[in-house]
Amino acid sequence: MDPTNIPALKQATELIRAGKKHQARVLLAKYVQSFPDNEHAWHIMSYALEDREQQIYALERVLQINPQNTHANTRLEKFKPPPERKTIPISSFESASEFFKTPEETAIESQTPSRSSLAESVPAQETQIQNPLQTTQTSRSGSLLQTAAASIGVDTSPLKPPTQKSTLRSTPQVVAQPYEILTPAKRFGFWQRIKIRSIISWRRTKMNWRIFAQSPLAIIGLILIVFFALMAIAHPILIKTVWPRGIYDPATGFDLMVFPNPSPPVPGHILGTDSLGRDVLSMILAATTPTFTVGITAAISTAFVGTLLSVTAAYFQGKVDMIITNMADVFLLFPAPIIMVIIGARFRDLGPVELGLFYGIVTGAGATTIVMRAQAIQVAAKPFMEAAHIAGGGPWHIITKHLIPSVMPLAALQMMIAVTGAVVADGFISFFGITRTVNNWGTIIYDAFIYGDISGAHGPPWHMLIPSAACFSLFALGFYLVSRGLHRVASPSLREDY
Amino acid sequence: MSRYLIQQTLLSIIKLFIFISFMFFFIQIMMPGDFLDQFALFCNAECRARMSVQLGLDLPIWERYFHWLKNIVTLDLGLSLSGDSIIETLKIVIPATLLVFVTGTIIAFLIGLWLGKITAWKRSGVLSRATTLGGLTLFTSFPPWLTFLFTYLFTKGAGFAVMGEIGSRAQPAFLGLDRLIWADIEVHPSVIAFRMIAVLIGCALFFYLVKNLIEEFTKRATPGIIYLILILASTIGILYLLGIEILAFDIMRIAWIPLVTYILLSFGETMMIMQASMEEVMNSEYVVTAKAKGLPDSTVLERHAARNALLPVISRLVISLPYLITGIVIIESSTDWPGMGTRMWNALYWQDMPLVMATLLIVGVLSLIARLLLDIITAYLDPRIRYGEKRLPSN
Repeated sequence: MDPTNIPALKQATELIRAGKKHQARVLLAKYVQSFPDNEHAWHIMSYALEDREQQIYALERVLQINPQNTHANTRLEKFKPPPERKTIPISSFESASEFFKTPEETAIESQTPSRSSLAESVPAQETQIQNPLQTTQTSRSGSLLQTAAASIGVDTSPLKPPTQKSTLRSTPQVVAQPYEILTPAKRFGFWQRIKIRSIISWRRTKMNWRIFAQSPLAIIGLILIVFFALMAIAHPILIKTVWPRGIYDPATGFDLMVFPNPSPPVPGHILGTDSLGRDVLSMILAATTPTFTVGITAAISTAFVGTLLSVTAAYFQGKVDMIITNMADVFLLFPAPIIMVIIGARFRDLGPVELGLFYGIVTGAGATTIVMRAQAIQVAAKPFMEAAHIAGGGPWHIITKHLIPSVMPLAALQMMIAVTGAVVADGFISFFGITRTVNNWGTIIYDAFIYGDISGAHGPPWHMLIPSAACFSLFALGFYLVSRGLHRVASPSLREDY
Repeated sequence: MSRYLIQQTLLSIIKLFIFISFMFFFIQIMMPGDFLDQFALFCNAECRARMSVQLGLDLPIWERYFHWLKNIVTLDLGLSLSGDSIIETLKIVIPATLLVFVTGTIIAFLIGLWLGKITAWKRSGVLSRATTLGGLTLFTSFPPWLTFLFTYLFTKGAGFAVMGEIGSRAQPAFLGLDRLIWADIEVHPSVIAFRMIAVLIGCALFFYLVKNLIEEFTKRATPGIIYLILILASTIGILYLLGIEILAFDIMRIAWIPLVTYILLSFGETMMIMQASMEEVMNSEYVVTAKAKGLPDSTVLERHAARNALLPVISRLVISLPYLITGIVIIESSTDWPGMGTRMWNALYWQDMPLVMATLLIVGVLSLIARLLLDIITAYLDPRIRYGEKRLPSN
C-alpha cells in the first residue's frame, strides 16, 4: 500500500514538512485508532512525535507489523541509547598493574572464587605454564598470568599452534559476569585530609618558588617589597621608643636645634628637615603605610572586579560576553586620576582606602577584565570544562571549582600591576595637593618644589627630593618585578628554559 | 575585513556615547556646587534666580543632558567658563598634544621593540638584565620628578616654570619661546606644531612604504636606523621648504622636555611586553627548527622570532591606552606643556566643567581612533583576521 494514496497520510506528511507537527499528530492519532495495523501510518507518526520514548514505541510498532522495514530499523538503532559502559571504580583495583588489564582478563579474574585463592593457585600456574596447550583449553579455571600473556599476543609456548591462539582471541570462551563490586577505599579523616592537602601545597609552593627564584630580578623585587614593609613597621616603633614625638612627628614635628629650615642632613636628622622643620626620614617612613594601603586596596579590588567580570563573560559567553567586553573597552577610557579628583572634591576626607578602591574598580573593570577574559575564554573552551558540564556541574560549581582557579595566577599578576598604577596615581594627586592625604611621597616632592627654595643659591633640596622620588620608583618597581616572576610561574610555556 | 572595520567603527561610536554620557552624569552629580556658586558670589537670591534661568541651570538634569548632546552632535561645544569658545581653545591645544604624544609614542614603541628584542635574544646576560632594570625603573619613576631632573640638569634656569603653579594661568601658552623670532609671526605656534606633526607622519608613512617595497624585491632586511635618519632628514628638508624651519626648531627647543620624558616613561612597558612575547616565541618549535637549519642568528631573530612576537605586542598596546590618557594629563601638567592634559587639569581645578567634558570627549575620540588603527594593524598583521575569521581575544 502506497502511503501517498491515502489522503490522510499525505496530508500528515505535508504538515510535518511544513513544521506543524502538532496538527499532524492529531490527524495521525485519529487514523491509527481506526487502522492500528498500518505500517506507514506508524512510521509517519514516528516523525511527527517529539518525545524520544514515543518515537521508539512508534518505530517498534512498525517493526512488529513488518520486521523487514530496514528504514525503521536503522532509525530505531539511532534512537536506542548506547549500551551502557560499565565503569569500575579505580579504588577497587588493588594495584596499577591490575588497572591496565583488558576487560576479558578482569572478567576471568572475577570468576575466581576469591582473592585469597589466587595466591594459592600460583604454584598451579607455574605448572600450567609448563604445559600451555592444556591450559589454553582449560582457561576457564582462570590462570591470570597465562591469559594475560595470551591476550597481548605473547606466544608463551613454541608448541602451541598459532590458530589456537587466534581462536581464543576471536571467540572468548568466557561469559562476562557482573563485576564484583569491592568495598571502596577507606575515606580519609578530616585531619588526614588536611595533612595531605598541606603536603601537596607545600610541594607546589616549593616548585613554584624554584621557578620564581630563577629570575634574579624577581628576587630583587621581593627584597624591595620586604624592605618597604619593614619601613612601614619601623615608623610607629621608632616614634614610640627612640624619637620624641614633638621633634619627629611627621605632621607637626619641629626641632629647635636645627636652623635654617630646610636643612641638609645633620646629626639626628639623617635626611635633614623640610621647610617647616619636620624630619624628612620620619615623613618618608610615615608615608609607607598609606602607600601600602592604597596599593593593596587597589590590588584586591581590581582582582575581585576583574575575576568576577571575566569569569562571568567566559562562562555565559554570547551576549553577556559581548556586553562585558565592550563595557571594559569603555572603562579603558576613564582617566583614573581625574575620577579620583572628582570624587575627592565631593567627599572631602578621602583616605587611602577609598582612593585605592576607586582606582581598583576603574582598572579592574577595564584593563584587568580584558586581559583575564582572554585567558578565561581559552580555559572555558578546554575539554575538561565540557566534562564538567556533562557531569552535571551547575554554573556555581563550574565557576568556583574550575574557572576561578585557572585564572587565579593571572589575577595575582594583575594585582601587582594595579599596585604600581595606583601608587603613581595617588602620588600624582597628592603632588598637586588635591586630596587630603597628609603623608605621601608625592606631597614631599610637592613641598620641595614649592617651599623648598628650588632655584635658590643652595640649589634644590636634594635631601627631600631624591629619597622620596626613589621610594616611589623602587616601591612600584618592586611590585612590577614580582609580577614578572609570577608571570613566569603562571605561564608554563616559559618554564623549561629558566 | 571591511565589514569587520565597519562593525568596529559603529561599536566605537556607541562606546564613546556611553563614555561621555557616564562622565556627564558623574560630573554633574558628583561635583559639589555649580557655576553660580563659583562665580556669582556677590549676587542676592533674586539675581541668582535670574541667572540660573538665563543659564538653564534650573532645568532638570535630563533636559540639560539632551541639550548638551544635541549641541555635540551639531559640533557646537559651547563656551568655557572663561568665556572663550571651546572649539577655538581645543584647536590651539590639540596640535601641541599630538606633537608630543604621536611622535613620542612612535619613538618609544620603536625603542621598546628594539630593546625588548635584543634583551630577550641575549637572555640572561648582565647587560640585558641591567637594561631591563633600567627601563623598568624609568617606567615606574614619578613623572614630575623626572621632568624636574631633566629641566634642572639640561636647561638650568632657562624657561623653567616652577611646578605647582598649575592653575594659576587660565590659558597655558608656549612658555619659553623666543620672542624675537615670533614677533612678526601671525600664526599661532600650535598651527606650526600641527604642520610639523603632519609632515613627520607623512614622511614616516612614505619611508615605511619604501622599506616594504625594498624588502619585497631584495628579500633582505635593511637596518631600521637608516630609515629613521632618512625620515628625520626629509622632515627637516620639507620644513625648510615650507619656510618654517626656524619656528619649528624653536618649538622643538621647548618640546623636547615633555617628549623625552614621555619616551623614557613609556618605552619600558613596550620593552617588557616584547620581552615576554619573544620568550614565548623563542621556545616555539619553528624557531628551534630555523636554528637547526643553520640560518644565521640575525635572520632567525628578524624573520622568524621578532615578526611573530610583534602581534601580541600590538594587541597588548590596546590595553595600555589608558596609560596614554592618564599619561597625557600627568606628563603635560608636570612639564607645563600647553596641551590637552594641562588644559583639562586646569579646567578641573577651576571647575570649568564644559571644558573638561569637551576635552574628555576629544580624548575619547582620539583614543578610539588609535584603537581602530591598532585593530587595522592587527588585522593587517594577522592572516586569521585578514581572511575573515573571528577576531582573536586581545591578549
